[in-house]
Amino acid sequence: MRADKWLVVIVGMVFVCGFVISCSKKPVQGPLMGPGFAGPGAGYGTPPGTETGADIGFGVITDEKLRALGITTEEQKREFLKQKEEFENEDIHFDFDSAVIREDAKPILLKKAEFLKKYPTLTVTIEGHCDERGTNEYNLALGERRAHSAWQYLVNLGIAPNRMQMISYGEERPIAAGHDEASWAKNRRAHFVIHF
Amino acid sequence: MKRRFKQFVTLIGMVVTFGGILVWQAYGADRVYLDITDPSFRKLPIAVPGFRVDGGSSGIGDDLLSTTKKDLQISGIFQVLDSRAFFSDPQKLGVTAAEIDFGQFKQVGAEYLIRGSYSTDGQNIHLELRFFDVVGRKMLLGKAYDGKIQDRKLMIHRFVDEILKLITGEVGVFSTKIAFVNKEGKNSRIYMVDFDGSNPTLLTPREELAMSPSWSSDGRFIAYIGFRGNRTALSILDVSSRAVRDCFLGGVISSARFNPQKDLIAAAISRPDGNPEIVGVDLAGNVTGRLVSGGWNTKTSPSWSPDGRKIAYVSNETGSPQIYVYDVSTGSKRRITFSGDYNTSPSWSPKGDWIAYSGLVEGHHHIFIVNSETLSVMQITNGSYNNEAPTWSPDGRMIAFQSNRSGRNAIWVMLRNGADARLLTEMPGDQILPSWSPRFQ
Repeated sequence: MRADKWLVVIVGMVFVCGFVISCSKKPVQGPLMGPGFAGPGAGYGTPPGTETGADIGFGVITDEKLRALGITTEEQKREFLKQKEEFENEDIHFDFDSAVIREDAKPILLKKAEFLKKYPTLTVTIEGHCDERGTNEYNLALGERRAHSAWQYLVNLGIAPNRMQMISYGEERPIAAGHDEASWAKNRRAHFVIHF
Repeated sequence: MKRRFKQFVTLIGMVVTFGGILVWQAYGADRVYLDITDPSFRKLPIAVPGFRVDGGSSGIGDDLLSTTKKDLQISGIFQVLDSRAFFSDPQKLGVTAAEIDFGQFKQVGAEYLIRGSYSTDGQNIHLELRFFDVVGRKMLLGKAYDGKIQDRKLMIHRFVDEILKLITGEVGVFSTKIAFVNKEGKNSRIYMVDFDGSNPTLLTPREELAMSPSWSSDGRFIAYIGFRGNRTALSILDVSSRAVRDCFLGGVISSARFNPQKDLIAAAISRPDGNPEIVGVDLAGNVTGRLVSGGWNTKTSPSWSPDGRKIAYVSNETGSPQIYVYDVSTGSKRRITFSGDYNTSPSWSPKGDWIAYSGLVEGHHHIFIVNSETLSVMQITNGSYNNEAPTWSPDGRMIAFQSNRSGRNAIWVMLRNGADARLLTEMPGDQILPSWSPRFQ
């Protein structure tokens, strides 16, 4: 009975590891759909050999997933969920037209690194965002630099590069709707989303 | 006026019978075109009386008339005279040079005249359009069109295109389209409209977030940035079939522009293990090579010169976004904007002489044009609102851009000197990032 339980845990871990590796694989380059174009709307689905990124393993936390993270008790579960929520709710912020990691962001990133080290099978998407004052296309590039700054900082703290995916939303996904410095300051951010 | 007219064209009207359809063609010799970019250029007064109905339904006469007038107004060349000045009943007014009383139009200040007549039969229309020189009392251009009633605007666009060719030496852009991103609710999707804002068409119904559309040189494809979960794709849309190909390039893609000469896309990309760079990508999604690279700083918004040899782009290597020109063949780089500390969105004119961009002035973005050789700069929009993301008409006479002057973002079109700004997109949502199509063959 006891041995059976361990088997489930090991199989679960292998499954999750395999999943994480496939997620962090470098995207396939080159033609994805062979010569010519597929029908209308084609290309929106799952490109072969790549992740969709949409809600993979997200959603309901099953016990298997928690056990794969080494969580076996309710107390550990509560602690994990609390830290996960904190991880995802705590953005780091940037100055206008800057992708430089500010002093106030460093302790937050350190906390994120500790969390990622504690749960080494987790992967994360780092989103770069901007305020509305720049131009839309330049902000996409600036948001990428912000995500990259956070990525580089976490790599320097020892997090494996392939655990972290980056994306930029420029000014297209603001969290504060106002047109004042208080809102802009909130929108100039890097946001972190956990996948497990 | 007489003297100028003699300079501009010597015409012989000819009547040619073609497949049962009468087509009048005007041929010119030693033609001298009007330079409409000359600052002293005065718009040409033109009269457009109501269309004559020669049979069938008369219900579309107003639409034909308003479409013709709008095209002429948008051209920036004509001043359309108030039709209340022509007292005659359009049904009784002649349509050929022999029938027309030119003195009547001369009296109200018209130098040119368009007469239209049509008949309908079920879903079909026969439309005749004639363009006259009032002073010279002769026809300069005459065309007959047969087709579906629903294509009537297209017939008028073609006719006005030909009038522009007659006067400026270059076909107009009335059959072109403008693609852009419409932000409505949670979705940002790509639409296109005709040059006059009509026929808004959703091109990417399944996208949630799409950015930076760019037309291919033949108008078959639109490249854009497609958001796929937590990754960006260089997406290539086949405009006629609406099929989409996603090219994943292993990094975050921030912008893409088609080469004006061939099916090659300049894409700005940053991969985790490298610096931001601009690479060439073919239609199959293969990276053909690096175009601009080097340094940690951003590099985005590539805009090709018309010969496809140079790329204007934005870099913040000095600490603020500025516009640079990179010569792909020699590898030399030149900074071209020196005033202001936020210059973005370069767009190279189809003639190669100017690069339009948006620059931040006292808290607002405005459209500028900079001469690609002399670097002389002109600011062409003003006011306390934002004007961004310029794109040129294929004849280089107009610029479409996004502006929030009406309280929301919308696409506007103006002449290259900043005059005659008009709202292009009258639809719900915010419209941003326009891209002007080439002329369709």
